[in-house]
Amino acid sequence: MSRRAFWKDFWRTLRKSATRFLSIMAITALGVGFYAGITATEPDMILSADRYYQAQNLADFSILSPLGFRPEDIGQIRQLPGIQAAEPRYFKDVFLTDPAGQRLTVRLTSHAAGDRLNRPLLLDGRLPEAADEIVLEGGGELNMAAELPIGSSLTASVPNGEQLADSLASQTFTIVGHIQSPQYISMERGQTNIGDGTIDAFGLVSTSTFLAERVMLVQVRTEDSMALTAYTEAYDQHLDTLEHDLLAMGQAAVGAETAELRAKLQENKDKLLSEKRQAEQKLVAAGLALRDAELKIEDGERELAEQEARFRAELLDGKTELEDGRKAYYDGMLDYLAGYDSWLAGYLTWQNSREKLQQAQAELALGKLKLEQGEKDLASGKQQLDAANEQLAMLSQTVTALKQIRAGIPDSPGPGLSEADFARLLATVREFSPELADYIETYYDPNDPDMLEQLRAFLDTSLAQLERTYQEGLAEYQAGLSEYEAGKKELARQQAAYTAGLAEVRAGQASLDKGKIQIDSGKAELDLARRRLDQAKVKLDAGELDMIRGELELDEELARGRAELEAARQELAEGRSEYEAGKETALAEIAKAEAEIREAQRQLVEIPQEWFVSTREANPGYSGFGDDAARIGAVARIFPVFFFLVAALVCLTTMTRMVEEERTQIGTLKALGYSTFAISAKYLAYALLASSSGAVLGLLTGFWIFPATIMNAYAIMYAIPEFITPPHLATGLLATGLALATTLLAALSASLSALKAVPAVLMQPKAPRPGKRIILERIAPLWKRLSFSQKLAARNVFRYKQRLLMTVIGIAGCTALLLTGFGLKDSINAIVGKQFDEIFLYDGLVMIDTEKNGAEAELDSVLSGEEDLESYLKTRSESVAVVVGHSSQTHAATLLVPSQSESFERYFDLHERVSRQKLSLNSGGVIVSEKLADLLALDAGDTITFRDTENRTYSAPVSGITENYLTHYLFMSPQTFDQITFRTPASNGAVFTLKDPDAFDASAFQERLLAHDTILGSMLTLSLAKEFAKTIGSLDLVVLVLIAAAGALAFVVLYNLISINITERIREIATIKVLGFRDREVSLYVFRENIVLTLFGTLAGLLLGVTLHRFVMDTMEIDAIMFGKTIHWTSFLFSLLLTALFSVLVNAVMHGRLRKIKMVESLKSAE
Amino acid sequence: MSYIELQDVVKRYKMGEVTIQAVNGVSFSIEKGEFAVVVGASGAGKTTVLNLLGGMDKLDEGTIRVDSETISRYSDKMLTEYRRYDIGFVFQFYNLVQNLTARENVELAAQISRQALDIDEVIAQVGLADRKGNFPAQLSGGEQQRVAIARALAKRPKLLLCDEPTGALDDTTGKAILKLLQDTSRLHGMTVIVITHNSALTAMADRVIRMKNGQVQEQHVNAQPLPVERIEW
Repeated sequence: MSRRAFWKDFWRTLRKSATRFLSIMAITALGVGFYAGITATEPDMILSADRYYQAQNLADFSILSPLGFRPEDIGQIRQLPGIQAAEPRYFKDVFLTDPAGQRLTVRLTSHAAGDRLNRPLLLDGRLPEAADEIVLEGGGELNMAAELPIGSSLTASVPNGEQLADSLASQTFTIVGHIQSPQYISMERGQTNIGDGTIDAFGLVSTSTFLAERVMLVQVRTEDSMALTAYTEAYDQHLDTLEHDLLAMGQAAVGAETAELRAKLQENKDKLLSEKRQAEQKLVAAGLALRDAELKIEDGERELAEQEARFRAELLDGKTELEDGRKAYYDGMLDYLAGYDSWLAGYLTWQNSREKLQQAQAELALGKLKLEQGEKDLASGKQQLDAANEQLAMLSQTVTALKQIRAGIPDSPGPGLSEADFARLLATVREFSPELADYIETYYDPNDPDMLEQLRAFLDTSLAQLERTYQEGLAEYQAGLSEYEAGKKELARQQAAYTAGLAEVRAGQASLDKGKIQIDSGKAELDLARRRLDQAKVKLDAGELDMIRGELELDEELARGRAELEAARQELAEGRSEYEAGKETALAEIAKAEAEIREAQRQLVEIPQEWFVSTREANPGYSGFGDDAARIGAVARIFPVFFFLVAALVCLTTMTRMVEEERTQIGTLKALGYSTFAISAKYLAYALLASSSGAVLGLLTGFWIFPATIMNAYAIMYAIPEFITPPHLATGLLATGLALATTLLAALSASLSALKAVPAVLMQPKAPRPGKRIILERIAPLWKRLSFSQKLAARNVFRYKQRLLMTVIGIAGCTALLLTGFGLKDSINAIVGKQFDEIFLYDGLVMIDTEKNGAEAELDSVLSGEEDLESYLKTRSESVAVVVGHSSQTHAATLLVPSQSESFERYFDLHERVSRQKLSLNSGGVIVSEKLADLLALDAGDTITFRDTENRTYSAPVSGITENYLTHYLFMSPQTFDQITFRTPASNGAVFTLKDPDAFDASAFQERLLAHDTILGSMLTLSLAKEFAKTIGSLDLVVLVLIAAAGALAFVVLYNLISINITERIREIATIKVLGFRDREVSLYVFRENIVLTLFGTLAGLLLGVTLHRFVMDTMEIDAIMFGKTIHWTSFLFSLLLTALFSVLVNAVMHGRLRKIKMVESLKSAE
Repeated sequence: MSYIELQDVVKRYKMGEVTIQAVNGVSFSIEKGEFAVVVGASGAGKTTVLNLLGGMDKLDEGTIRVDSETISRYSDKMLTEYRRYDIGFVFQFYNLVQNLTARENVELAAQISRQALDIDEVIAQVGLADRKGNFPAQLSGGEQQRVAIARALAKRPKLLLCDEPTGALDDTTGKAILKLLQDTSRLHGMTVIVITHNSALTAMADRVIRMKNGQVQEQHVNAQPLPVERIEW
């Protein structure tokens, strides 16, 4: 392509599409400008500040020695490597009263002619030279002192109990000029220990004004800092070693200087302690001795009583025993007498028995004689009997023999008997009875024949005679025998009786003998008993005597013991009164010693240990400015991205459309044989020109307008004389590069995609993208349920995926911005309610001037006289600097100590935020507000170190971390305060609650209070809350900006996308118009998919918004305030609704465009 | 009074400084149920007439009456209703919605009509029962034109206006389409107006209107219209 034709076409296109070109240029300018400008703001702020610091030679270190510096200290500092300058300064906080009577608390710092560090910026007049000259800070809104013109005279004063003449050479000062100082770039002037604790203004006076011997402050500048930019990491790092060295030097110097004082105080304290201990010991010993004596008396008494009891018991026992003995004696006597009686009876009985026995013996002897007679009689009788028995036996034999002889003599008369026979008979009879035989022989002749008869008859008669005689004899014998038997029996009986009687007598003799022995022993026993009884009687009598004697002795002894005890008691009473008297003095002594010890301890605790080495970071103005710059920097990293994104989006769509529109031309050119590069070069050049000119424009304005505007806003808060807005090459190149790359890429991709097609196709109108089934259609049950138009919308949504993504992202960004804006307000608004309704329960506070006598008492009388007050609690509040561990940085906090912890909970609800657990003041430590604890990474149990306005450093354990939002607080009970500082917390104000806050007349109350000159003023929580709400009211602007940005984003995205949509689908739209779709239906046909996408985008945006909000809150949070992280549900709703509103607005605009589409023309292009 | 009557219709277009009389006093009438062919060269104003008749454009002078309604006096809103209920359009390039299937394209028209025909029946009637699930890109030109006709018929319009319906089709396919249109007119009593530059088509028309330079050159009723098959061009 010939250069000429190319450029001709190029310029013509440019002219024809000037709006398009301008729009790309504008949007690029906006995106680049915004990005570059916001990004440049942080470095610009820092550069501006640094320039000021360098120009005024702001010190890198400010070292304060609580004892004042000795010349050798300063010399030592100067000798440290890397020190460029170390200059001494004096300062003094005084009240300055102007001619109108207005009193300011002013920090006077010394100024010498040769001072190079912290050079003041002279606004007007000149610097002080004479001792009664002063320059005060000036510069407009920052303070009231600027109103005092040069030449005004000021009177200096100090609080009661201090002499101004001790420290300053002049009491009145004349203003000779006004200055600004790099040390005071913010409104913060620091804390002091006079007045209400805040410094109103600063001033410079000549060094000659100060009478102090020692230098109080040393300002230090390092050699390297001249080449380093403030706030940079390099700057911060280069201070580390030096800071460490200075701290060590300070510790050594202060330690050496205070060693003697410390030792003396320690010694004194130890002495006091030992004295106190001695006094205590003495007191205790005296008490113990008294107690011992008391115990001894008690013991004596008890012993005495015990003894008496014992003796009395013994006596009683003796008596009882004696009585018992006597009774036994009488019993014994009675027994003895009874025994004697019975013995006597026994003796008599024995005598009787003996007599009886003797009689029986006599009888027995007689009986024996009789018995022996009887035996003899019996024996003779026996002999007779035996003779009779023999006669009888012979008679019997004779009879028997006669009988036989008779039996031998025959009965009949017969022969007579031969002689022989007779002889034989005779012999035979002879044998038996010779008489008979003789008689026969005589009388009878054997030859007589009648002889036999006669014999027989004789024999018979004899026999009968004999028989009879025998019979008689037998009878007689038998009778004699039985008589003998009876006699024998009788004799035996008598014999037995005699034997028995003899035994009896013998037995009787034995028993008698025994009885005799018994009686004899009984007698002996009786005699013994008698003797014993007599002895017992003697003993009893002796015992009785002893007893009486013992009783007498006991009484005597008891009386003596009692007397002794009485004496001891008297002695004890005396000892006690002596002790009581001694104790009082001893206790007083101890109390005094204790107070002295406490004083010594307090002095020890208050002995400084080191220099307070501060870097610039300790300066609230310096660090605040740095924080603000960093905050802007953080914002710069996120918000411009949105604008950049939008710009890129717009460029992309615009370029795409441009290429689309020139399709036919591209096709023609291609058909004519132009190369792809040659054709696309036009669009690339177009995009390049548009975006680069836009970028340059954006950079030119952006680098200036955004930093300038933002810094201008900060100029209200920071006194930096000049803000500079230099261009930043890197940022500019990056922004431009990004912008160019985006537009070029858009142009390239659009033209290349067009150039891919063959000329013939290109010359025809672009075929609409063919329809396609979407995944959703596969889910038959769902798909069937959709209405026809819903199906169509669903298909269209997925038809152009690129557009889908862009819409969702754009709308999500819009919603996210809105939510962030609203959430910002929510989060900060929530602080007020939480701080003043949930944590600070009191309705107001009163401050008093403790330097005035009786201020506290007057406060009591005034507040208890106020009828509107429900209750009040006196408090001590003071400003303290909480030390950040191992660094010179501190955080300002309010130390609040109630006069008593009991009712504290009615005025402050201290609790842990997450667990809502109440925190008690009486846990022996400090309760720290949450933000401060976060900043210092403190937990319960850690130690917190803080410095009061008198530069006394204290450490205390953290007992809890309380939810708190505005500024930092340390709470402790008066006891804890006492323990830590060895001082009693004197109240310097009070908090109070109202009976009815709504009906309270605040101004009347205020007036009544201020009538008392000890009362400095009062503040109602309500007005505090309002005040704070007002300061954060500026956030409305931020929210508004965010809403505008969000709206712009939504509009740009939706407008662009819908407009592409319409352009691309114009035939389709014309067709449905021809089909008779009403306007509303046509719009719906086109917008329905946008509505769906907007919905998706909104939902995604809500999620994104929560994240963005959190980021922004984290970024914007300042050290003194803890922001809430809450987003109210209405904010979600509003964001949603606003997004919807933007979408509706865009759609409304587009509705008009749709109505204007001419069917005939739209369809004609095909012809 | 004829079913369709155009009287002294004038339509002007402004092209910069120049005013072009695209239609310059056109008058003709068509009876109900007729198959009319408007024939003329490019730029003769026939499409403009058709657009005016179809309510897509507004005339500058004259009157148009359709079924005793003077549509030339209609507002935009009324014209939309007129197109919606009374007119069926068939274009040269079909103008199907690419993102809808054949059946859905018909449905698109049917859903806004009061007395729509059964969609599937209409599609069957144009002979596309098998292909109704396809997207336009998947159909041939003739098939797409059938879909377009079905879409027009589905609304049960009073008038079927066809602008060069065969212009983008080969002869055979074109004939088939024309046959479909003729059959529609014959079988359903539909008033069909076909615009073409092809004079050969006049043979099959009940009424022929010949235009030239924005004016009606000649109009006549064809007593013996030929069936499509017998026409050659």
